[in-house]
Amino acid sequence: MIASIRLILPEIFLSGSALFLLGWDAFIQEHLKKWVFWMSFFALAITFFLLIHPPQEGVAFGMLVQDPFSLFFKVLALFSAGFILLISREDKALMGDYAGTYVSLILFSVVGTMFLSSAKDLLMLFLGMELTTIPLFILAGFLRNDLRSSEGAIKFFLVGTLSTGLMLFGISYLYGLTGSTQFKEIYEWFNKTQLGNGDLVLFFLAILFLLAGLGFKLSLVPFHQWTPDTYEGAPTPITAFFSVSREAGVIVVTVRLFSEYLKQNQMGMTSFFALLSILTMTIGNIAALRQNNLKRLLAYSSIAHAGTIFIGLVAGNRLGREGIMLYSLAYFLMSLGAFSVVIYVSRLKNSEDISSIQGLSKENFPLSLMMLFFLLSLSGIPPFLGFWAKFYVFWAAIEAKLFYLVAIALLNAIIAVYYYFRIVHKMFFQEPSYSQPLSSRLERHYGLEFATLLAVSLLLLFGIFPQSLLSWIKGSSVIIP
Amino acid sequence: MVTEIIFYSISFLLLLCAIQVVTVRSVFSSALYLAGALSMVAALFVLLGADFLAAVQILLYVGGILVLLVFAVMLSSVQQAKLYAQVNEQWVPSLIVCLGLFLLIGIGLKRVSFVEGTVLHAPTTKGLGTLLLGGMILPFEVVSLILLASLVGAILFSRKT
Repeated sequence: MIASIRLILPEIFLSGSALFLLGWDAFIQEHLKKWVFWMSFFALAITFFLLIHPPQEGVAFGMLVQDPFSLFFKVLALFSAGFILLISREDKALMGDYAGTYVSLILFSVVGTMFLSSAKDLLMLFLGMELTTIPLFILAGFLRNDLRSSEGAIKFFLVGTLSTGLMLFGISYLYGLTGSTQFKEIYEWFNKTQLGNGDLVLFFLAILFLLAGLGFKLSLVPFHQWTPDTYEGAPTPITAFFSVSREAGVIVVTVRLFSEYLKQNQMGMTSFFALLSILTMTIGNIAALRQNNLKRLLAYSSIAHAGTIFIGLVAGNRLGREGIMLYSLAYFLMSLGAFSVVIYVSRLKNSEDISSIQGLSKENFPLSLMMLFFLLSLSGIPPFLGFWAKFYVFWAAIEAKLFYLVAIALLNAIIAVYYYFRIVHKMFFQEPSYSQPLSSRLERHYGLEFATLLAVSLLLLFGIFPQSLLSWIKGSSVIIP
Repeated sequence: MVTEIIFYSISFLLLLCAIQVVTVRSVFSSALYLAGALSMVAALFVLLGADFLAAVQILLYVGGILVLLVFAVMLSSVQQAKLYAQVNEQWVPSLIVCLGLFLLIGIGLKRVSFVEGTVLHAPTTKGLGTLLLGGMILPFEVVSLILLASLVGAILFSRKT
């Protein structure tokens, strides 16, 4: 018991801090509220310290496994939460009167993500998923006076609860068939069961239900419809945060389940998984071509990226796992960067339309340059980290001899370049559509600027000198059974 | 034999109530049907010997949540809700999807080798309590975090701006 508690000490500490910040909101006077930001940062830093000093390994309560693989994603989740706090720091609607609530909801969601990344039991998978998404439902509708925010939140909520219901239904059948919720025992049951056994029909049906639940959270096609509306409506820092829970939580548990335990190639589901990946990439990219709202465009592109990440899972080898880790990190940095630029532009111009970014290079050259870097990285062009991420994932697929998948993914990458460069074209080669000079309304957004700069420099640094990052990832792709 | 008759009649009533919940026009009646459906679930729990779950089902769902729901219905404009149709133009495709899933699950359940279990009619409360504070303590605590987060959301959305 004590050993288990020691293993999940970071999670416990972070939940405690979230509770504390919630109380801070309720009992503390107005002028002390600005400390929320620093306190939450402090909490994240201590959690990080507890995580890595020393890195613990083992199984807590028989349901959570702490291994280098989960540690990587936990660190990623913590850092990204820090980024999100930074970019929402100056936003009065978020970090104003209800700053404590806002921050504690983010921290709760991060705790859920951390649970998800080390779950090895269907029960923890379900609970981690709920703890991740329920704060997200609330955060998506945090701007209560904004109808779009409410609309997105309600859509997200309805779809999310439906998918949870489907998933639980599948889990109940899995439990009925195998008598356990442990990944390992389900796998052993599957290994023991001969082909042609009648139980397998229900087993695969249950897996499909489980996949539907995971697919909603991963925004895989055909479960992606909530994504654009929710991404568009939610406060933009939260939109960036959506990708965190997906890249650092849900994908991890999916990988753990379908490439470590119930290996999808062993179940003969590789072509099915490949189909999911292809559909997700293609539909996401094609829909992104027609978008005129920057957030919607990035939402569709995030669907496409989810499909590309999924290739790593389809490949099902260790390289694929490393690819997923690298891609998660890279995607997080570049999408966060792109969203921060969108926030910056929308704070200046009160618009998230693609025309608001028109001629940005003439108004604010550094900003447009950074956006260019993010977009280049998103399209997977060297020397940015996005290139290495795509490279690794494709390499894994080639190693698994999935050539058709790589071919389609490359075609998709080309489509993606088109709509990313549409933004670049608007930024650099068109005149500003806005008559009012920007500088007149410019106030400093230190948090936002710092986060954007950090994201750009990390993307460039890791992109040009990937060795140390790659060796870290290689060492972290170990999964303890 | 008697158990089977009871089981099927309860299930039939449960399904009937559940269908009524989503098809009747008046929100108030649909809340009442929901009460019926939830009570039938409690009856199923009793049939399976899960006494604690059955009691909790009645106390929490029928007694607590449903009463709140009825309050919410009475405070909102019930008349207006009657004007809206219960289905939208996509009801045919969704019905087809549902029937397909039903068929698939039916096939799966027909082929499966589930064996009849024996229902132990013994109190389960003690065992559940030991489990919740023993081997299952982590999920139990995580659930409380989830509930807290949802509570925060409920307060946040219902306060005046």
